[in-house]
Amino acid sequence: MNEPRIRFENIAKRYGALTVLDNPDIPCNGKVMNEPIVRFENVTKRYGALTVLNELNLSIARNEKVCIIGPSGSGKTTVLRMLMTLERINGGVIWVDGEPLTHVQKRGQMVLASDRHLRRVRGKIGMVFQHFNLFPHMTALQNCMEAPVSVLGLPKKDAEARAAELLEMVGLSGKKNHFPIQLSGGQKQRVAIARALAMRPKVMLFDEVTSALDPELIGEVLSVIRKLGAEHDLTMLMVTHQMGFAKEFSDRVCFFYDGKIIEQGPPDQLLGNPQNERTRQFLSAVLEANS
Amino acid sequence: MNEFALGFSVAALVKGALTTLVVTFGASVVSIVLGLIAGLLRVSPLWPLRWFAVGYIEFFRGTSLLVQVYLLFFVLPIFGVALAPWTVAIFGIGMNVSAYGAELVRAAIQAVDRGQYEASIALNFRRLTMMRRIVLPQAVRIMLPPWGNLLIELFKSTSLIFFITITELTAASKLAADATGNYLLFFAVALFGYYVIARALITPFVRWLERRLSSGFVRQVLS
Amino acid sequence: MSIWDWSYVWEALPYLYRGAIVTVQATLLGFAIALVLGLVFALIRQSPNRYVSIAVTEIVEFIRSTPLLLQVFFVYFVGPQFGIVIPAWTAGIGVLGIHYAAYCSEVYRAGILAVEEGQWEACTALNLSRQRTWRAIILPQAIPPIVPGLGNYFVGMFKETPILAAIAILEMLQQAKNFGAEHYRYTEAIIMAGFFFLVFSLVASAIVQSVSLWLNRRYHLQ
Repeated sequence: MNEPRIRFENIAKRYGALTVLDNPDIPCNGKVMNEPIVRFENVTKRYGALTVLNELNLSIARNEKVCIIGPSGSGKTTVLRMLMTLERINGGVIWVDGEPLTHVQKRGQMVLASDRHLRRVRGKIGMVFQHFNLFPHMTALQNCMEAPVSVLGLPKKDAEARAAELLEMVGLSGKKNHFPIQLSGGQKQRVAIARALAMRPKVMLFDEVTSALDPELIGEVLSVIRKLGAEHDLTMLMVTHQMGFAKEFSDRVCFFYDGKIIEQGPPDQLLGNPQNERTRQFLSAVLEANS
Repeated sequence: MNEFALGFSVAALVKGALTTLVVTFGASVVSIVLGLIAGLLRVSPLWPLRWFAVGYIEFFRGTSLLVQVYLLFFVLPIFGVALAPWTVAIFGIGMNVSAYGAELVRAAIQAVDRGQYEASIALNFRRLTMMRRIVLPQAVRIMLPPWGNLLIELFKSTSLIFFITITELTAASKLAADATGNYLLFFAVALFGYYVIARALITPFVRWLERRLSSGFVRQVLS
Repeated sequence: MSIWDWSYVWEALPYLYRGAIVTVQATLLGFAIALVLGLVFALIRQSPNRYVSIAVTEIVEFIRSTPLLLQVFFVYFVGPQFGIVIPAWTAGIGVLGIHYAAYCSEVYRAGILAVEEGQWEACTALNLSRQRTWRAIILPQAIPPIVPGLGNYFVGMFKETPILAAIAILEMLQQAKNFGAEHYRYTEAIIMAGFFFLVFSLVASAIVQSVSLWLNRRYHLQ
């Protein structure tokens, strides 16, 4: 019993290191279970001279709910945007479901992946934006049908059924034929969640999804996310300022400061009893603003 | 093509280019002056002035430039007013462009922040003083970039005076090309000439004006 | 000799009618070219390849800074020098279309740049193909707001058609002028031509306005 365990750990440890790709003999079946679904390995992001993320290492397990908190400019949104391939990374590798996201291995070297590869890996990830980014010229239903039809090639009827089901789940079955301009902020954001889910992603990214909302509309969006987490097998990664929600909802909270994770851990521990001085300062400042 | 014809043609081209520049300059002055007047009348509180401006602007923008030039060139002499082709060129083009310019003036004046008007009223300025001291200095900066484009349109439209027998750059290149048979050469040279004048003379001039006028208090007001 | 003689007006009308048909045809055909080609220019300018986009930008700039009349001459007269004879009508409408395509491409470009960055990001997040992104998401949002801008050039092109007279296309103003030359009487014909231009301009502006309203409503933009 001992032997295979050690071997597996070895693989897990080596996996992700670039050398493993050179060796096709390593069995790949076992890894799928324990391998994190998303893994940032020494990822660096720079805008010109400004380093936003410095050698970030972060693993997210399957079905894990991770909240990212931190002051603005700490690079937390960039993490999500890189994962969604909205930003190009300057160093390191992002692994998604066992594959490098932006690179492929060719003759022992990592080269920039083709658009096709990018599109295949990207299919596993869905994203909800701070400013909704709904398509203004399409109804709620059409917003949720567009990508399933034109990307996944779903027949219109099936896509419509799925979209209707999802809109029902987010509590908007009555607003199917409304255009974004006719919806409130909270309703828009719920349509955006349904739209992302329609692509059946394995990982959902939530980028400050309540920051653009009026205070009284935040609850409806959070309760949809809560329901999503409870009822579906989804890995969720969210950047948020809602400390209460992070505490009750997430498995782990990461505190970002200056492009690095300064502290992370279970929400009770990190939010209740932070170890790092910076975390304490940040949390007390947030608390003060909310009181 | 013999050398004499070539030298002759080059001289004609240069002369044509100078004619184009002179007409452009004259028409620009006319269009700026009349455009400012019509634009200011267009926002006047007195309705007869406003309506006069609307009529002026709509007439010159709605009927084609060439129609206006022909009116001055063929129709006016019937009423005993015979204008020289040069006058027709400068005033015909200048008045036509002034109508477009008036709209730029109006738009720029209306784009000045409402708070500026309210502050001027609060400070008990006369309307004319307010226009001269507060509104126009800010409006001028807003309207400069579109005026730059308009002057390039004006410059290009000087080619139309070809139709009233003035030998400007386009006409000169056509004559030279007809005389020598080398259309490619002369038309290419003329095209390039227009491009250079537009991009190396007019655009930098307007940019320079923009820079000058954006220094000092105007920048602080608008930023 | 009276200032205004209605009999000349009636006599000039057939001339003006023939010319008006040519003018309207030239404008419609030329503008169709300008709309399509302008969009092509604008799309190429968005190309990720820097050299391609700079090249197209320069071409557009060149077309915009040189007179239409000279461009018409260039196309019409340079061809025959090398044995390629282009009919006046083809050359005239082609150049009219290309000239205004340069202007329209700027308008399209402004419309494309005005579409929020977030729309592109949503398309990436939903994995839409590039082609689908342009066709289904970006252009439907980019075009309705710029219809008035395109419409201005439609009216502008209409008023520039008299230039075609320079290569012997008998459009409305040339017909009026010919009538004037034949009858030694310019007043009525030229004023009538101007009047028609004015009426056409106003009608065209009204049409553009309603198309713009309709499109914005159709796509629920505001």
